[in-house]
Amino acid sequence: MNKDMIYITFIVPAYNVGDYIADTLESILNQSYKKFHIIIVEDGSTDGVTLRICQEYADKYKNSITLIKQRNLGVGAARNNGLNQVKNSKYVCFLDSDDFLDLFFIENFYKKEQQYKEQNIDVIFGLPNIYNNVSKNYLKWYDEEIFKNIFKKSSYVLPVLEPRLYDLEVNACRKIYSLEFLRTSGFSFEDSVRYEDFLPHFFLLNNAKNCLGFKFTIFNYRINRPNQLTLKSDKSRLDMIVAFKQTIQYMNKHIENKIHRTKIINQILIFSMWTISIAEININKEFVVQLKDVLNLLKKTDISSYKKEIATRTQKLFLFAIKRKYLHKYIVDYIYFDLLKKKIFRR
Amino acid sequence: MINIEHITLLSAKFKLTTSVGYVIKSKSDCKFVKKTLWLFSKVTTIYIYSKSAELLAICDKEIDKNHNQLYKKIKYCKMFSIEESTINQTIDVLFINDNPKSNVIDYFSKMTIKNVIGHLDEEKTNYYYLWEKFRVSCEQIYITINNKYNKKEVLDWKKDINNPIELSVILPVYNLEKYIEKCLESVTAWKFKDIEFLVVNDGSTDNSLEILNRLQKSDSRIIIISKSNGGCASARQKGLDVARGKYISFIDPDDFISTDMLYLLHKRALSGNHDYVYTGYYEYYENLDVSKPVKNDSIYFPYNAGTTKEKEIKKLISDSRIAIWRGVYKKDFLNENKIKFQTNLRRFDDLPFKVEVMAKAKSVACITDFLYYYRLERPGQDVAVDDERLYIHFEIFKHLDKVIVDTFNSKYIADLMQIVKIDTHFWAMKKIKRKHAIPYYKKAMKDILRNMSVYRTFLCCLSYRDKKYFLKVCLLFLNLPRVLRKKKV
Repeated sequence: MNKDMIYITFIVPAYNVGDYIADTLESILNQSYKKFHIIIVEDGSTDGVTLRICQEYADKYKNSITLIKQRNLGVGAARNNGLNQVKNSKYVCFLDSDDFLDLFFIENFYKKEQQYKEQNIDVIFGLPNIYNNVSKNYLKWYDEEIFKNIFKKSSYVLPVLEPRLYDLEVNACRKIYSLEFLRTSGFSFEDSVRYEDFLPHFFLLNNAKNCLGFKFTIFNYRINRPNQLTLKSDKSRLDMIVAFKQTIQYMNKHIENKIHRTKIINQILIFSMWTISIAEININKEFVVQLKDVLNLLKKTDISSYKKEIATRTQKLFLFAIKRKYLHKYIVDYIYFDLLKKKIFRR
Repeated sequence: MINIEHITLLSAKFKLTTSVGYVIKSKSDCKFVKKTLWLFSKVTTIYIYSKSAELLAICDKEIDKNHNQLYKKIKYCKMFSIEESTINQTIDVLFINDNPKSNVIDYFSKMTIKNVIGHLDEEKTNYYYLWEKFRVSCEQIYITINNKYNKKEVLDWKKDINNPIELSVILPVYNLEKYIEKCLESVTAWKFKDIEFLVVNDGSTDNSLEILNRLQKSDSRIIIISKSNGGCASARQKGLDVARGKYISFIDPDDFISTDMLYLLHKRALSGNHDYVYTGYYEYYENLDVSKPVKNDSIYFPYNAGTTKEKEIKKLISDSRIAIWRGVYKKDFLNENKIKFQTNLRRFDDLPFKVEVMAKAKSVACITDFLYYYRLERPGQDVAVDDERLYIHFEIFKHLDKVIVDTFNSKYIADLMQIVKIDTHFWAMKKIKRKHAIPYYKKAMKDILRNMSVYRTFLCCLSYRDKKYFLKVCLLFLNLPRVLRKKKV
């Protein structure tokens, strides 16, 4: 690593987050280890405050912040835009503008990464914390158990040999990417899809030759703030179908490992059942109809092996009912109550 | 010391500080000092306080001497050694050790301290005492608290220079000359300075106003607002409009409270910044002078430990009583969500208010004691109504369907509202005079099935209540009035 190379670049898309963007930027600027660069992609905010705050910071810290403006295109496009601007940096990290970094993140990360200098790591997985915006408490991340199990023996893992990686939460911000890897693999986010993290997760696992598990906190994920996308239950939920479709198409083309394919089906089902549990009734009906079409794209052998190996009773029933149109009405209600009883809500 | 993850958000301010203080009690505190010292690159002095000189020496060893510039600025102070100079110190950020004793708190409250950051266990240190001492000079107090139920909460209090009022108590008065004195006596028993009692006189025609004026002379915290008669909802709303407190409480002046209720509620609300905090209550039978604690009110786990889980909070819509007067509400929370009283409703305006609060609150806590006395058997009371006036329920639910069910668009809330509907209609049908029962029943059935199918209603009853309740609802669907009438005979 030569001297003027930046160690890590943060790409922060900002859309209507006037109340939180300052926290995010401060948390990066306050880091104990200072070899970083920030790219803010201002995504055509309409609240009038976000742009002003971003501009203030960009003026104040000219050496470490680059501000890019674009008209409103969505998070995926903003991240791509930011990624294209990165010139020389060893690692890239995407950070959402309402989340904030852990104070010692870069220092801890640097120490850990130095141990594996020789291996040329492609992707590093980390554990976020959940920050409750109302009670101001810090909570554990949803998949901490799975994560700790995967990286129990060694933090150095080959994705080909570890199918459990496919079970991890798909969040794109929890990963740190080597820039070289992103460039050679042709990685990008889908522009217009709202659930932009879904496909890239599997794309990465399929392409990365090695990865690290990093047990320190990367960032704090803010929940309970008003207007959060993941909490919305209106029509935007249907965008998930598009993400599923792309994932299945990609999977049929590029992923050959049988276990990996079943794991992806599992993620799709968990995600869609969770959606059914929180979305409105009208949306649900449409969602189920569209989901049926998408699931038809799956190969029959995949589904049968999925049913044999991973599926729980509810998931089997779900697959059974979704094929039969006259059951849709009842299954929407049934699964909802079933989920409620078992309390397997993800968020 | 405070868990280090909490420093992340606070650290943005540290750049501007000129002096910082650490109070250390153990070796692990020294490590904390070492770990956070670099954040204060621009300060002029760093004070490190301890009771033992040995610990200060250990801390000196621990600190990295490579931070050369910072190292020169450190001053070690032994606590309780009387030095005049220490009294007038100004400290921008003070890290206080775990569970500070009251003498430590007193020692520092003499200085001017702008920010206090620390951690304590509720059972070992009274955080309210700490807050009261420090809030005089502090701009922000940030204390993480391990509460009685072993749950972590955060006391994050910021000073509002223009408005010192912490709690506003709203009392709507309409012709209550018999009860008002007893009520105000119990309410004003807590001699807290920054509290206001907003008595809204809703055009009383008896001696209430004279009594109030007399009481006001002995307690300047009482503020009397007079308006022309417009019903309980309009009086409460009027109080809400002028209230300045960070927290709001509504107390009905015909009831009375245990003297420490407001103190306990405010204390509970401070830790955790809860949107809504409530207690249990007694039903007080005036004629017999007997009070009976109200059961089935979900004042136990998980609500007593404080909860921020959406499902648990929304469950309160159907599980807790409609008793809005036994709690305190965060003013900012009510404002942000535009929660108001429905002034067009003459009666039972508390039901829509309660449902809106429960549906929108993000954090809720409760106290497991019974502290409020709810007076029953008073002539002219709303709950005693048993004729056509009960038809107001249909109006309320029509309104609620519009406000709650449509705006939230959540199945969960729709389901809970269905249960509330059934419960309310059950209650009304037991109460209503016989000649109104059949028309009421017909209307109620229409109301219940307006936006939910029979199949879903049954599913609701089974999953949120038990089988017994389910059978009861089945009976309701099979023409309940006849069943009820048989019971009455």
